[in-house]
Amino acid sequence: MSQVTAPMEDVWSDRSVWGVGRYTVAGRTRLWPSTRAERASAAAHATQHLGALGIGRGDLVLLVSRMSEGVQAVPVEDAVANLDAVLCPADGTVADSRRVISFLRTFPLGAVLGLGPSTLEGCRQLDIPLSVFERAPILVADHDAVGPLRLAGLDPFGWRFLGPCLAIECRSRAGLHLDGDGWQVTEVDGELILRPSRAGPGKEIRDDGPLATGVIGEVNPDPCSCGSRDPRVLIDSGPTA
Amino acid sequence: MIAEPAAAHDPGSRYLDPAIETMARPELEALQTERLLERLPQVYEHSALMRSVWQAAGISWREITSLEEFSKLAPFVDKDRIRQFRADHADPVGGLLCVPHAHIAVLGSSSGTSGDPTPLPQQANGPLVVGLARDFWEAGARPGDYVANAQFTYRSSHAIERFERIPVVPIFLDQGTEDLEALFDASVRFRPTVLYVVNNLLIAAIDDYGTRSGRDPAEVLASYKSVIFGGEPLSDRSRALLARWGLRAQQMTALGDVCGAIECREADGCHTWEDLALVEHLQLDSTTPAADGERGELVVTSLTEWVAPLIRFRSGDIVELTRRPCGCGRTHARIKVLGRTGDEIVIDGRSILPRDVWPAIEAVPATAAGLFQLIRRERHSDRLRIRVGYRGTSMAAGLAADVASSVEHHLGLVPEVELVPEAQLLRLGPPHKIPRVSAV
Repeated sequence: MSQVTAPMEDVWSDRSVWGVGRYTVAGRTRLWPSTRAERASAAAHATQHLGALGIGRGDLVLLVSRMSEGVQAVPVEDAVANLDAVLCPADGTVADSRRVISFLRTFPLGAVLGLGPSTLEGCRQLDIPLSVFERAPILVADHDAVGPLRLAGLDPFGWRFLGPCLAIECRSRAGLHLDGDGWQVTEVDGELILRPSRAGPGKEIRDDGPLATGVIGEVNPDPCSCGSRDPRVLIDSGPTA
Repeated sequence: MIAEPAAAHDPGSRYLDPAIETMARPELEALQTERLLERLPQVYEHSALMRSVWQAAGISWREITSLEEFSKLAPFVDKDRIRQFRADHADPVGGLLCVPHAHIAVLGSSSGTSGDPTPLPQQANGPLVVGLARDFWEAGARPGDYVANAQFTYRSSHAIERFERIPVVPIFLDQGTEDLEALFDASVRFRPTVLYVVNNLLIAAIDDYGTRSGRDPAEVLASYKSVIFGGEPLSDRSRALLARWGLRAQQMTALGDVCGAIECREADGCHTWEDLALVEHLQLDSTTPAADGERGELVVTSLTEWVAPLIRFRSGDIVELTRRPCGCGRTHARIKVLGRTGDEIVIDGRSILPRDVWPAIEAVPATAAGLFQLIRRERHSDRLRIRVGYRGTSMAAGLAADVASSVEHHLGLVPEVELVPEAQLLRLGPPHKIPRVSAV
């Protein structure tokens, strides 16, 4: 069986694939080869928005993620490096909640990013109250974990994977911004639909047609008071069934 | 940071860094000496732990001018010493850090199998990245290839530099059984050349998923030139399944928290990278070097790590080590990991390690996942006691007797067997990382 390889001269081009990620829509996993230009654009977006939330030089930034989330998380790793902050990784599973709590109790963290429902469930199993996350001056949680954290008296910012891209709430707290240079977002029958702005790696590698996210929400076309011109989405509920 | 194009490597070569990988022993030792003597004053000046250990031993870095003197004079550290320093000085990094926080690229952490995760500060493009890129190359990855990247957990970052160094394209996957459809789909669509990294449970799950989905793993996984296996010993059952699918396994292990070590295609021990780490092995419970090829404790010194280098770190890993050149042409030391010093149980003068028990447990169908713990209250014991996880919701009649009989058949010892549902052991960590020894 033949291998799929790129010619060497193309390996470093903007349209070449740097990583293959995945996302899930309606219970089905979709693979997403991401180009170098898309990674750079996503990293610039994350750098801008995480910097605006207050992450800066020397901050210890705990990023809770999964290995399968590389296409969404590596640009965040890039952003942490761009901000001269220090990345502290932990796995977003129930079992690895111990690591999250250990970091939180051991180090003066500047921010916790990507806190999700599995970590919260792990805390519950370990009898650790969610108020432990008060120790993080900046808390950015997955959309599905924001509610429980608010019930615990915390005030996290939200973030959400929309397909292969990441949307981040700003200080205005009036929606989540996604990378406007990399993606066009529309709403079709209540579902957020994406389309890459740039030319992709080629149709033999990726279909660049409209990309269903499975996320119900709306696009807010009004300028955001935070000053960002990145498109803003309001998420109404969890993924579609 | 997004990488710049690296120098092109010769895809026809067996080696990514041929001059280093095949370096003659005298040149390699000269390089090690140069790097060690450069590292020692930096560590002595900036690492609070190392300075205190060396001062307590009455040794100064100035007294070390050769590898021989280092071997004779340099004091050791181990995980307990680092933990003690953490506790005594309220220093989360255990006195190892040689630079301000802001100079750390990634603050990773150990698995935490034997306690709280140990923070492991890393620099950009550190030994882990450099070594693993060489290992990927040996496994068959070439520029432009896809590599299925299914590591155990997200605790050392995605370390994208290790892929950029060749460069290959990682396919990001979870190692758990829930990602099998994605693994199969990606394998068919992108025809990756290396699968990094699998364990016994995942191999069993691939077999099971293949049966349930009607997709033959031998066809789906046909593009892989190599499968990197790590975290636990490769079981006979897994070896047989991989062979049935036409796949070659290369086993990997950690080199004392400094970097990794992976077998080459000769499959005769995991290759260390001695330009990145000074590797020693000592007789157990002793400071005397063990003879080439014999069993000893692995001791590692970082040579290219400047953020938080470990100097003479007693890893607790029991290994067989040889410096005989490998059939692949590489000259660096190779190790076979046999177990952990804290895992050994001595019964009637006989040393028993978890890997000795493994084949007996997985030979019984209801315990084939190999989830078990040795009960070790003390190193010396009159009896072998094993806690074994069984599959399913209810225990089969006579299962304890079956397990005991299998252990007796394999080891000649009649054990006490305690049966628990697999789920109870899986709560202790990922399948390949549950503590294999328990005091209770």
